[in-house]
Amino acid sequence: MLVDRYYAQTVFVIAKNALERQYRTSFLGIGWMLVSPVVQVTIFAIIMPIIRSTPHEIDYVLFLVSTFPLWSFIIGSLLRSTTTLIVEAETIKRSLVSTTVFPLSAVLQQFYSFLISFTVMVAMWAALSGSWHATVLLVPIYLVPVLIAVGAIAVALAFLTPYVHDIPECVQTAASVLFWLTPVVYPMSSVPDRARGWYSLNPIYLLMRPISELTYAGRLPSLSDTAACLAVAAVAVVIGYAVHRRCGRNFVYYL
Amino acid sequence: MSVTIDLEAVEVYGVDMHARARSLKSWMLGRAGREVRIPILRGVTFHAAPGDRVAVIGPNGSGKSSLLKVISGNYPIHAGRRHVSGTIAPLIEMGAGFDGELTGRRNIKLSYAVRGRLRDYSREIEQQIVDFAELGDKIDLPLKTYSSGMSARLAFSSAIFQRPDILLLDEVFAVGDAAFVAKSRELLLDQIDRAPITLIVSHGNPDVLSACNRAILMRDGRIAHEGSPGDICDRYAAAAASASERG
Repeated sequence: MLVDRYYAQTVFVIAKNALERQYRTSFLGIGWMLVSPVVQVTIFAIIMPIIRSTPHEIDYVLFLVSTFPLWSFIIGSLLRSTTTLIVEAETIKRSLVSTTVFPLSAVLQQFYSFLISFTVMVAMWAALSGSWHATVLLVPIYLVPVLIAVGAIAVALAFLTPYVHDIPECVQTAASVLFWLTPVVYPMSSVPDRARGWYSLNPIYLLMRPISELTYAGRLPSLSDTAACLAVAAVAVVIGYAVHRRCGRNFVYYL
Repeated sequence: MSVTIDLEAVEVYGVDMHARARSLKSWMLGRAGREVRIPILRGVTFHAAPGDRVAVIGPNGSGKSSLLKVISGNYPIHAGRRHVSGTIAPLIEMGAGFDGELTGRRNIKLSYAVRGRLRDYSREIEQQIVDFAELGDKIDLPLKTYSSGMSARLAFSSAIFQRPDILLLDEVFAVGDAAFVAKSRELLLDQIDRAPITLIVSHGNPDVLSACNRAILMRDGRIAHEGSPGDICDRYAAAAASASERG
């Protein structure tokens, strides 16, 4: 099913229409997708240095650019996907569309926003600082496992939610905890050595780390970082497949 | 491949989610609860072959729509056997997936997407739908600016242009002015005529009955009677009359 071009087209059409619907009646329209990252970088650049004594070796704005949009994409996708099947219940009961298109469309919608935010932020950073890392051009390659992992977990969460309606709240709570357990607003260098080992158990950190290396550190991710990122994607696919196989058959009766 | 529908002793039940949530709390408190199942279809055996136009008649909640959803594959079965061969077009609800913020044109494509029918979508079919719905330039305005009649015309037109082997119609009726109703009725009857097998859920609409050569009467999730449309309609009317006298 995943290789069917009509399946992919359906995911695109639903995501595109959802995005268009979101901005259709606003004056700026899709322009808001540009305004938001510009404002964020401005805040990072002006306010953060004031409220935080930044260690001199850390370019904190670039660090946030390398982590914040990606974190927002991952968590936003997972949160949005949890309710997709519940929201589309009436359509699902009456049409023959493959039900996995709904969580994947939610992920794609978030991915569009991420791509625009990330590109604008990196461009703004380059313009403001007069420098950039050429390694950032390799980010699309490392986004592939991230997209696969997020898509797989999004499918798993979407198909679990009809059976356990508390899943959206659980994800929301887990996200607020994970935000502080993942180096999103603080660099790994500020984590004590004895605690760093625990971060290797955080799958979101493992997914984000290669992109942070490319964008912020300006170096290629190590082999072990790349392998860890791929391993997270592989485990996510196994989880997504297993949950879909287990819950995908009768979920319609629980919507 | 021959077009057939074979259901043998099909059982389907729903789940009372409120009772289930309560039982989950009981489970967490150490007082294990049971999932409360609601029977939807009980031991339904049904066969249809090319040439069958079947009217599915019965009171609300008798399992008519659920039977169509089992045939279309939207409802998996819990017991029994289901074998359906042939392409299926379930016209179970008009306007599925429509979005008021998008234009009529965008909604045509969106409705094809959410019905899993993008394979059939093309500019030509889109224009056919626009022409049939008689929406003219208004097709590029947001759906929320349409009158209810215009929305219904677009929904009917978007759904009806299909060429399936098995056509499933659930309370599908054309709405709008007399001229639109007449041409929609003609198109609908033409679709019924072209499809090898058609099932139509009805409460006894004469147009529907005249298009059918078989009928089944559903009651409490079971097929209570099977026969000619006229006979089944009489039985349904008699049962409704006696229920009303008792009530």
